[in-house]
Amino acid sequence: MARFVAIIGQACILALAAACPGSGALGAPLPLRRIADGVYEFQGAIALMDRANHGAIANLGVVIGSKGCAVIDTGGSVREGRDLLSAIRKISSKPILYVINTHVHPDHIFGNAAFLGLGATFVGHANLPRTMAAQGPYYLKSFLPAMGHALLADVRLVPPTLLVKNRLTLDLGGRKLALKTWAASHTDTDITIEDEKTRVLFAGDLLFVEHIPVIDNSLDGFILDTKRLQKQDARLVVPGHGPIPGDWHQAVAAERHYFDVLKADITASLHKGLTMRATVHDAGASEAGSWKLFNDYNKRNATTAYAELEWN
Amino acid sequence: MKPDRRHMLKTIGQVGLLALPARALADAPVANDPWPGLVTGIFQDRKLEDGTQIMALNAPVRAENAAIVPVSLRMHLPPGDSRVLQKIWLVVDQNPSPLVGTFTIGRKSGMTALATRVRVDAYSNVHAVAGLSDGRLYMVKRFVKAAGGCSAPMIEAMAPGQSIGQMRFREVGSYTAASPDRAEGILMIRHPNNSGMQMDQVTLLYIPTDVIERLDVWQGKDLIMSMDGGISIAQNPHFRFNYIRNGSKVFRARARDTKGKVYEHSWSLAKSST
Repeated sequence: MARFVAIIGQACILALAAACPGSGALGAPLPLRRIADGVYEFQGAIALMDRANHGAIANLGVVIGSKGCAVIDTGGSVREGRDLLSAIRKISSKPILYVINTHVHPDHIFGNAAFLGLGATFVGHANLPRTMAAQGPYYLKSFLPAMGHALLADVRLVPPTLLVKNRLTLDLGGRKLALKTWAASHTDTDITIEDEKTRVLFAGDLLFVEHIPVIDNSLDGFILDTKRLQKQDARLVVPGHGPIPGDWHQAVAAERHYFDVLKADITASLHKGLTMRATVHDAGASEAGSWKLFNDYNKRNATTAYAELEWN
Repeated sequence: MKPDRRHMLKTIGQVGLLALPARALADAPVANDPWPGLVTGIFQDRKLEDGTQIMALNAPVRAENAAIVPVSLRMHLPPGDSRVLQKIWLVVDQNPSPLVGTFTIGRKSGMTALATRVRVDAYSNVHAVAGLSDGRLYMVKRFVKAAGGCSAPMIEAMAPGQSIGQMRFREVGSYTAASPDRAEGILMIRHPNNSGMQMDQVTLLYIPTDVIERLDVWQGKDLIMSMDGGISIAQNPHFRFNYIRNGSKVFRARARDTKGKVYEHSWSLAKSST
């Protein structure tokens, strides 16, 4: 019975893909920037995913060892994933050993299908298969109006087969990547990736720079994660969104400040007995000038945090 | 096993339905208005009068989080109208299980306002129908833009010290300064309220439906309200309602979920918090 359900689900996805042939045209290679020896980054736009940016809003990474490469996140559409792949092919002909998803959000996983059939192992948090299955269809549906059918038709929800339960080390040949899981915070699927050789840390969406932090799971968890982030022994930290900060400790502190303000505002309004709707209207408002996309996410963050903090 | 199997069959239909009209969703917010069919199914085609003069339904035009959409109904009968609220039906038309809940109001409770949080799975009208003590039904509605609330509930692991069925009640003060005998209370129940629409990719099984299907709340011996609810009530069910203080300081709630587990708790309010 369960298999039957799964097959129906796949049939729907296949039907969508078949309805839109020709979406596989290769675009321009993504502009990859070398940020350390063998380490590259693409910086996404600080924007919401839409047709014009074809989902390219998250920062992506590539690390190249003597045996092969690891890809860190695949972007917000298969088109972006393909553009990433063609950019990698310009700098290295080594095989792609691992495709790592830092977490479940569509701007980080919708490009996964571009890396199928290359022999790469998909890697992610132990919760990622479950959460991807639960939320993936919702993401596909809810991004359709903004992204359009052509960009989403060939998206596949490709779950990881190599799971990170606490820590995991990947050997790329001559360099190792240290993967770690974090408290449920931004999502319940966040991992970070550190290249031990260059001490570059890919923080995924545990660090937002300029782009307002997004809380999709737990504000208290995110506060814990910022404390733990501050203790990391990294030389350079690549955020999930926004430019690589000159002083990453300061960037983590700015993010933490937003969380503290939001928590204080919501806690005060809970004490006053204010409703969720009344609370989310004002909570965090003093931070409006400090972040881009504030109006797109702040009330949503406040809603999630209110439902969490009312139990404290 | 039987109910699970039946539920899965139902779910298969829903998956097919949800996957296909996604494009239509972008073009035409409400395709195929299900409301006339719901009036037949839920109210046996009884006459629903326009309720806009006697009550207000409040819901966000655009939901911030489709899995936690706050909705509230507040009744304001004109002075001299001695009828009381007896029943509330809350309906999210486009949800796979549109009837969010049926609330039966305690005769002596004096309740005129109720708020809860719902899941909204697609752009949808939200209808509230109030049954008054003279037997007449009144309807109000709101259009809410949200999508995916049923298939994408928050997935929140229970932290240490938290457990399913944990309940909290608190009074949030007098309803109005003019009527200090009227109070407002918040009842919270920690419960995943699994909608049965999430699939576990490892087992390829749907996480079975597990929701609070019945809730009763009393002030002393008097019932404030009962709810018969379903999968459209958001995770960690939350109810905010007003009532007339009857002198008792003891509040009690009893909830039963679809697995048959019963959670019961009582609170003794040391002093009324006026």
